[in-house]
Amino acid sequence: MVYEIEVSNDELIYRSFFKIPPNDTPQKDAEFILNREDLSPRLSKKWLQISEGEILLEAQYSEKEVVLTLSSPYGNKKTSFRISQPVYDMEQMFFLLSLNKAINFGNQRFSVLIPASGMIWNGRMQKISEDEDSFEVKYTLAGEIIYLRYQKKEPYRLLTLRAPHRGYDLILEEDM
Amino acid sequence: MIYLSPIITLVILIFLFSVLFFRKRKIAFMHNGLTYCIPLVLIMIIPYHQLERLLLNTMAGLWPVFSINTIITFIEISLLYIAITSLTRKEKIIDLNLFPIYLLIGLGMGSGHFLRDVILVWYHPLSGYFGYSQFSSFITGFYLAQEVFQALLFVVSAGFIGLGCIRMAKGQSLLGIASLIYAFIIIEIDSIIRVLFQYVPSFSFFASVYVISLLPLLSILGSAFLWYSYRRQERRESELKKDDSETSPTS
Repeated sequence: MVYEIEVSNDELIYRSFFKIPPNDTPQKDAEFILNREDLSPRLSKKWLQISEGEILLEAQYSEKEVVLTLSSPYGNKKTSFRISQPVYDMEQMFFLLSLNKAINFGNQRFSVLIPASGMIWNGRMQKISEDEDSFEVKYTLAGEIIYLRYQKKEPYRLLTLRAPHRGYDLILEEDM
Repeated sequence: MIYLSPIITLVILIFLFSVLFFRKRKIAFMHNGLTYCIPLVLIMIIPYHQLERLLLNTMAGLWPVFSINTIITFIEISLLYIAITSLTRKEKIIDLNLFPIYLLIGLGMGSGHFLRDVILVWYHPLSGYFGYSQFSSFITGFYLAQEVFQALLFVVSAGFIGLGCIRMAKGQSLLGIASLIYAFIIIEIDSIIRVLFQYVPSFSFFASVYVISLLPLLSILGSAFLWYSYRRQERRESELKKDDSETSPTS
């Protein structure tokens, strides 16, 4: 997995790619654009490979509305719904820069859009351990549990991602 | 055509069922129609997906999800049991002649399950959520196959519940309870498989073989075992009748 971060005046753009041996050609996984000021989501794109071709899920966020578009070999679907409270994108949690925000989540629930479901779910982040350099939080969403370890100091980099039920155990290394 | 395919599938399913089980039986259209439609409507009006979503919003992990799935299976089996026992009360008899009607109740519930899931995917503006983090956005051949096999599991389960009720009414309590447990297990195995491939990484390969091998295998084995149990019960009853006629005084 390769993550790319691009910083512009008012946006943070994350891109992730898969590298599947032996050919090592990067395959698009997700693209996510955040508002740099308050880390609110602006655009989220997710590519899924199936035997018939490619599925693209796109969520376009505005202050009061989310527009979801699904393009697939079977056809296209589009929907939109109004939002009355801050909604985070499913992808956002994995790249959450502001740990202050994560700590403030505590045991509180917050709304997370899972674009593939076209529905908003309750997410919860709970700090479970900390050492000198990092925090580990337990993140639960739609019946799934993911353990995320963040750097304590700015830029609050995500260090590890463990999803025992999915069989993931990722250690993220910086490659400048 | 894609929108007609679920209806065509359901019509074929009902036709095959009628040919198999109602060939020699006089069909009372209104009576059997109601027997089929009531469980169909019953399962469609349960807010199954909303209930599952509510529970998944509060619990996470293998065991809580396993419990959620068991609760939902229990609700479905209870509905089948209620439908079967109310028919028995209405008919005021309970014997093996009612067996095809029990299967018809199962087909009604299976069809309701099928229609509920298909309509959800059909009309949902983006994706139909159908449990354990699985989403489907379009009605595909694989999706229809999965729904048909799941409907068949309801037929098998209803058969076991019917046999269980017959056995209990005839004083074979242990065998009756065992049949009710089989009815539960047949639906629960399917749910457990789906939970396992979502939550246990070493079982994730199940996902790729679920529709093409696991579901058909479960339906075939379940049907074969139901058929064996039915024949065994039939033999047992004919033996009992024979014994009764031999011991009863003749004029």
